[in-house]
Amino acid sequence: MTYTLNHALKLLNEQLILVAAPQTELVVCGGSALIALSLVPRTTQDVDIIAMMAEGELLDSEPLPAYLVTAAEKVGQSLALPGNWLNNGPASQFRMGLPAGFVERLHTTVIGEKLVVHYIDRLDQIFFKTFASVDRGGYHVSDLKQLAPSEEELLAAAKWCLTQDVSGDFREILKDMFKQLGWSNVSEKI
Amino acid sequence: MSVKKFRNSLFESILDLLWKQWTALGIPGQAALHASENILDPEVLLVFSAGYARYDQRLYDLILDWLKIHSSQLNLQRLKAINAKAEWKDSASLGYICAVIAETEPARWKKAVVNFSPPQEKDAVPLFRDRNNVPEKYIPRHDHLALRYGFVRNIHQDSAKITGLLPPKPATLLLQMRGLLGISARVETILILLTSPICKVQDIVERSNFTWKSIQDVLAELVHGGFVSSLDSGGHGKLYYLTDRQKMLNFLDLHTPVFWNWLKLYEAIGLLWDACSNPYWEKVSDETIQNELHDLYRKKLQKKLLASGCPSMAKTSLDIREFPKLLQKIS
Repeated sequence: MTYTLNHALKLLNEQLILVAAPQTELVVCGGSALIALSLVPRTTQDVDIIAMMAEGELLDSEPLPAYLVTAAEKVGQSLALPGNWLNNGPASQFRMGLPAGFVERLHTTVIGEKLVVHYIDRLDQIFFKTFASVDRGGYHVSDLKQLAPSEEELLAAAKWCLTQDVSGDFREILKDMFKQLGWSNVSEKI
Repeated sequence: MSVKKFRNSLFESILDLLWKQWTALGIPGQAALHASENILDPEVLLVFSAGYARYDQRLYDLILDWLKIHSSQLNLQRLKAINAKAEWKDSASLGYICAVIAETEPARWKKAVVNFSPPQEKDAVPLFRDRNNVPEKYIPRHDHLALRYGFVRNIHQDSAKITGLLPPKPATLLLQMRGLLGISARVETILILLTSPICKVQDIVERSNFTWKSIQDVLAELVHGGFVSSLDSGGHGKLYYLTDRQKMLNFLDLHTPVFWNWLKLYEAIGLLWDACSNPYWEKVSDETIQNELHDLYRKKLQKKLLASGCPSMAKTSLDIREFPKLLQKIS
């Protein structure tokens, strides 16, 4: 079934109401965050949870609370969504470390009584897409270009990436990637 | 309108259309719910997408993932026939797609791979490119299967985002009917009769891309079973129609289904895209571009658009500058 992300999240909120679940706040990156902020027009609608949030504090999303998994399964079944439409795939990134100012930059959407979604900011997308591009290339590179980063933003992203992988090889690959993508100025400054 | 602006707007419209159609077939794309009665043609969509989705790797890879789940419902003979006939296609890319699917469903798809043999003599080229036809530059690790088919790309990883369930009809009606009636010319024949009041064999052959004999055999069986009736057109062959169209519509729970000749529409889109991609167009005046567009429309596009059956496009005259807007309205 074709569906809109908001519709799926609305149904998820209602499932949480039905089981009297606690207030649930998801910090979301990936395709749905790109859509929510109108950064990339055509992408997938999966909800990639990088972290949970409670009282302004980020929490590890591994494992996801059982009530949330059950609610997501029910919504997934009713909308014929893939089993991993709501997932904590990026949870390891939370444990590896997030860019400074990440929480302050979040874009919050109240879905309903029980569900709040915080979408990551464009700058953080640039950081993550830069890191993913180095390793996997492909559409991460296209996304990065579509985000139209400035040199300063790319340099900040590069510096953050170097905290994620401290090997000398990684630095060289990162420099090479920027050079190949036409960002030689950034490459030279790394 | 400058050619650059027109080309960008055409590019966005084409990709939007492909995303909408693949989403209607089951990829988890961002697409609004709609009440279209359009029946999609998966083989035609695949032939066009094999070329055009090279502009959007995310879509291309989701199509690969979709095929891994649903390839058993595709008609490979028909795919081969459509690719042979299509005026806008990318056989090498289609060959690579078949090779990926052959890894999960080898029995049927290995034969298909042979039909779209790779350009062995040429150096491998990047599979993906940007809207300006600039090939992808940064490819960290090469996919070995793609290399065998003449393409450089990053390693394809299954997204695991495709379900085995097809979304509801009418978009998926053709695939669903194959589940009911099997993969043969029967499904396309019934759909064409369902969406046209009366047809000659040639009409069905043209639109279904099956052979004359296949269609004639199917029609003979359908007439024998009483589902289809025929009448003599007075020396011009027989005319065929559904004996009780309403009963068939009720059975399929449809109201006013539409099954366009998608191949013609996509050919027109592809030819227009190629014309706009001519780098010299940016060096000439708007007046010359208008003339070129008008000429292209008159000589090639008009006939295809008329044959497509798409009501907003099938007109005796069309301002081609409106084409991207008209595409946006198709679902």
